[in-house]
Amino acid sequence: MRRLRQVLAGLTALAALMALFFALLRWRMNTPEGHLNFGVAADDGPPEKSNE
Amino acid sequence: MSEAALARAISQRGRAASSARGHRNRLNALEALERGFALFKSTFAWEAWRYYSGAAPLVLCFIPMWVANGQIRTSDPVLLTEAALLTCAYLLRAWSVSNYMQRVRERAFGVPRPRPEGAAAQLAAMGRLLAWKIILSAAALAALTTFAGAPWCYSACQFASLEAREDGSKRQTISGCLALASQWFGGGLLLFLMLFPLWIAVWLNGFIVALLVPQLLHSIFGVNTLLSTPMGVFALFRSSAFWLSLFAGAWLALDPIVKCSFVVVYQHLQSRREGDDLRGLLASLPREQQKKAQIIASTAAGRVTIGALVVLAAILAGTSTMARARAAQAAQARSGTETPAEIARAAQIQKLRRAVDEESRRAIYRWHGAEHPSPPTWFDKLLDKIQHQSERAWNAFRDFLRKLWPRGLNLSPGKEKKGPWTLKDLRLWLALIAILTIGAGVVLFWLRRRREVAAQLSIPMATAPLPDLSDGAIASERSEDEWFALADRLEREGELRLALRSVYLGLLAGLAQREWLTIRRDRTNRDYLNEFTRRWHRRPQAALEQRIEIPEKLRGSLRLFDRVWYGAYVPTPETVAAYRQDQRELLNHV
Repeated sequence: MRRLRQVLAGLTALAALMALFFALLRWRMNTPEGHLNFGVAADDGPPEKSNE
Repeated sequence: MSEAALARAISQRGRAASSARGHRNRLNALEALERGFALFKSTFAWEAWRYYSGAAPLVLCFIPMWVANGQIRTSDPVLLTEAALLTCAYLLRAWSVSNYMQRVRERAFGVPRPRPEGAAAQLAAMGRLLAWKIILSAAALAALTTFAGAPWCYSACQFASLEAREDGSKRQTISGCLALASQWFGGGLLLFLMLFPLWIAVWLNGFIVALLVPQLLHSIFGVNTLLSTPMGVFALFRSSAFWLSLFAGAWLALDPIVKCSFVVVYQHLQSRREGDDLRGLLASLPREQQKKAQIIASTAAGRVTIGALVVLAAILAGTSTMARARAAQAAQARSGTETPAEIARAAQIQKLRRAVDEESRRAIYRWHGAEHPSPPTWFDKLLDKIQHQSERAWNAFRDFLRKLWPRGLNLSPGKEKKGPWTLKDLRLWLALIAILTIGAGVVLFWLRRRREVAAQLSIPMATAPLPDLSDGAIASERSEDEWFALADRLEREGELRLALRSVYLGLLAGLAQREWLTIRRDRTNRDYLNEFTRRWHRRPQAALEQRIEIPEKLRGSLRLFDRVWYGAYVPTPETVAAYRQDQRELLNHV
């Protein structure tokens, strides 16, 4: 019984962690920013090479 | 003396003894960190792979996901899959790190690691480990606001990696980990504080490398990367993924050492709990006596000291003769009856000494000893070699600088002619050239900074009334009517190119407002056209009327804009007016 309770506690903790990861990734997707976006750097080059 | 007073005196004496034991035998934070470093080094070759293979997948999964989710819009099931993957990576990390700590402890202190028997016991151990680690990690994060609470929970979380897997007669609990952490609260707090400079140092190293490598590649090999441009560096600074990677790198570099430190601390606390520290102290007494004897023997080599000792021994021998005679008389009286008992007693003492000596050699007392008696590994040898080489290089460099520096140089006025050094000395010229070069570099750098500041001040004044039209993502900041009004104004002012750009942004804003496309900074005109065409063909009335001329019109509009904005085509007032009219009509049809 004690072992079952411990396994269940572990599963609950994992589920909580998964929910936290999901919320974090969802928040990240909904609030994009300019990370690793080198468009700014590309705009700095000659205008003929830009592909906008 | 009454019994109560006697008991009080005994209890006070006991408290004093235990306090003295505590002061003498307590592991401090610096010592723990030092032993942690030593333990990490001595077990690196065999055990470190366990830590890295467990911890790396979580970092290697999380950072690409962080980058991708900021750029690509995905569905909830995909996000759920990603979260499940990260959870599995965390599971692997918790299990591997716990294994690493257990194995390091086994290797260093000879404590056998727990092996739960049966699948149920293993599952329970895993459940305990996860529940404890996650709860204590969350508590440590929440307690960061109180500052002092964070190291307490953090220490308990580290102890949980060692305690949660044990499934023996002792019943381990999460509060047991917290109690263990509270026994070393001061040390834990200091260790936590000491870790900050280390984390910062490792973080700064990574930061400097990330900035320097692209610049060096550019200046030495001529390799042009985005990061070798000023805007590339700016983009890197704005990237949260870059900062995340830096933090993750610093964490991964130091965390195994922290784990080893906590293994030492855990062993220390366990030995205090189970009395091993007292046994260890007792066991170390013969060794300490031997060391003292060696020190005395090595330092008492001087003749004067020997002479003084001889005199002192003679005096002592003379004074003790009477006492010895008296003792001999008494012993003769008892010798007939007590000799077998004394022999047995001496044998027992010898046996006890041997037992204590054997006991003192057990690995569990190794945390008491300053040195690790295990033979040096290949890593130790490699580190020694690197250290030796770098010291030699540093000495050579220092000698070179010392040779360059003019000896006897006296800069005080009126004493120039007295020194052995003259102006013709090459070394002075070299020093002067170096100083002048550095000075010129500083002046040039200052002039450049001044010019940049002046340019930054002048540009906004000239373009203040206009928004930055070069950024495509700005289209969503105004409505299509506002863009078309701005285009009218620019056309009147003769800024035909900007007017056409404003019409283009109005077109994008209008299409986004009607949900035909999504404006994003990283999208090109081709992306916009593809997205529009896809949605256009999926619209409900597409089965009744195809109207492929609308996407074609959009394609033509975008092509004309590209020719004007990126190409050499110079627009006329008529071209801009016609372009504006066409876009208005296109927006009326969608």
